[in-house]
Amino acid sequence: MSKDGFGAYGPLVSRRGFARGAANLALGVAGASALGGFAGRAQAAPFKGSRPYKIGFVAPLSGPVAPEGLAMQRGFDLGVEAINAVGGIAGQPVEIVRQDDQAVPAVAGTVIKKFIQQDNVDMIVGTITSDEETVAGQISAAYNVPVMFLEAGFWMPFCTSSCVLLGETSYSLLSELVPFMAEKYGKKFVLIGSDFEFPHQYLGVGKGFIAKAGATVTDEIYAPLGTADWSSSIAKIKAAAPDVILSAVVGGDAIAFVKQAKSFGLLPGAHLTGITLQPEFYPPMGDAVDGLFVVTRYSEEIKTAGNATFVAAYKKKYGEGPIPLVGVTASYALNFAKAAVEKAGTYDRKAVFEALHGARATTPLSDAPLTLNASNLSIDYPMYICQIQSGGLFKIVKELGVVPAGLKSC
Amino acid sequence: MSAYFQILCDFVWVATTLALVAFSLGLILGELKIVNVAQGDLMMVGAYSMYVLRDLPFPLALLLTFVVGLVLGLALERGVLRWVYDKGFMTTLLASWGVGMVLEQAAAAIFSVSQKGLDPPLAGQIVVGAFAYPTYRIAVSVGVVVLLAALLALVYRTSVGLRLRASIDNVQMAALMGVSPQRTFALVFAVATALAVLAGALVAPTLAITPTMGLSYLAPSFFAVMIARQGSLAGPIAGAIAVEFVFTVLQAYLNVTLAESILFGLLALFIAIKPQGVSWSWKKAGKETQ
Repeated sequence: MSKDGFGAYGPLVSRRGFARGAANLALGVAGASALGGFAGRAQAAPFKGSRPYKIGFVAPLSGPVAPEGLAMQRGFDLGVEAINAVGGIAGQPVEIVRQDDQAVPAVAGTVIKKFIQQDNVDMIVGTITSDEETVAGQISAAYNVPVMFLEAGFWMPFCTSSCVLLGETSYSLLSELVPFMAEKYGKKFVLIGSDFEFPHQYLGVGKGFIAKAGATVTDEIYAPLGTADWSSSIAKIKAAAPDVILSAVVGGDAIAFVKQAKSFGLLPGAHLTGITLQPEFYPPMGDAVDGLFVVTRYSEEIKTAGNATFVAAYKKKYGEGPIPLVGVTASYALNFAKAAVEKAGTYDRKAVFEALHGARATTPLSDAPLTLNASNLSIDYPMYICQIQSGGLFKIVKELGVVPAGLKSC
Repeated sequence: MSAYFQILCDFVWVATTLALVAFSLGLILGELKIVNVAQGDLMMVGAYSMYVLRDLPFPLALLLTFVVGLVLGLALERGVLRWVYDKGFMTTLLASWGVGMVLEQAAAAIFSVSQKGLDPPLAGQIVVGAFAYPTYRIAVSVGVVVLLAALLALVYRTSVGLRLRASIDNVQMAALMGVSPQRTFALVFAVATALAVLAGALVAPTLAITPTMGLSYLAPSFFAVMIARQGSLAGPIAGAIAVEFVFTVLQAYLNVTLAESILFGLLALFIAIKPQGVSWSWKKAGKETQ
């Protein structure tokens, strides 16, 4: 991580500089086809596979981040159903092998080796934490197996791996959020996060934007994943009396932190924001987070045909309640796989990874297909400032347009 | 000044709930000679029980949850543990580990791994000048102190407690004196389970309820038991207070991660130096190796 907090990210881009991302989107509009569902329809597919396309799905379905893993699996299952309903990949059905990695990097490594060496998968999708992703990236690079990461925020040396990032980056989550919060509430920030790689990186990026906004960080607090009691951290926050609390407390800890912040009188009232405020956490957090602002790339309010279809399918299968962001991402991951395989004209792993550079696919997020940047293997997403409503709806209060992922080019 | 009150109240809150878990763990270790690594999962059962019973008045839900704990403990002792008592330390350890795994998986299957939440039955804070602290935490702390005092009185001031302590000291000798080992084992495990379940029920409104929520209590409660003299029933309570005191002081001034690392390092060192534990009895001060 560099001193400016931006580490692997490219130079700060002004909003005007977002034109490149916007142009990608505009190009996508021109090429968009009518959508029959949220499953992608890539370019015409002359290539016909000779066997089912095999994907290894790895997720932490037990352990401290199991809720996110389950959410990812739910979205992924919907995506598999949807893509098989429109002919699969290269005219062949998608076949899935899946395994729990418990959010333990060593287990993730074992699972991924098994996928590659025993199951002979063509592609790997999944994992949640940055520690798992690091292991997945190292192993898959050695075997030239493409891997799609779905969770937000983490960066890794994509240029030297065979991984792509479908989640948004910390840069895109924070580049608009920090100045918005600083302008609205004041320039004194406290940072708090779970103590592992991603929260450090996320808050490190946040520090860069805080400095750029002319604001200051008065305290920075980390606690291990699985922390039960947050009272000492909350006391430190109260003592610092910040204008804004930027939080990267994740998993079940996010709920414990928010519930305890409420019982200690910090919430409602404090201006909490950050990746702690996930839609799937709303039911157990309850009204403590009502009225808070956050930047996200998904809201059920997004008015696209693909989103209407996706929301209906999700709620029919899993019932009412907020739709987790990682579940949304998982639902369209295979659209990028389809686009890449059919563009490559082969199942060859290396060729498919090459074809992922610049692959375009439909998503529920916009009517136009989105592009996986050839230069940094991440996506410039349309982003929104949302305010959390009673009941858990993330109401869009400001459209930010396409925000760059901000990763360095290879 | 309010910062010191905050530290004091934080310490009392965690120390009391941890003491309840440690007492339960010490009871099982002392009487059954089993290292119950399912202790955190028993807490989880209590939390989910409160979630299921959330529409009932809180005291009634708590009472029913305690009964659930008694029944669960009895079922586990009769159904699993009694078959492995004579199979050695490793077998009983693995048996309790297996029980924990089954409980976690059962919770995941029934409730899914998605987090659940409960609102505390007592909202608001007690405010004294500039200092404010959640009413629920203070009420639970007071309640647990009363409960632990009652349990210690039962153990050290009644004939039931005398028989229990005799059984812990020498189960064969106690059997010759008419104390049925099987009945005592079943009763002790049921009560200890119910106490762990109760602890989980009490902390549930402050945490995210998940199948693995109890694991964070496992290591500190084990250390609390291990630094006490083996077989002592008051020892784990004192151990929990000591562990939490050190942790509270450390995390008031340090990052939580660093505070945890130092705490567990100190405890490991302490146990290495004094593997027999410490007698916390005032009468035995200076004779702690007895």
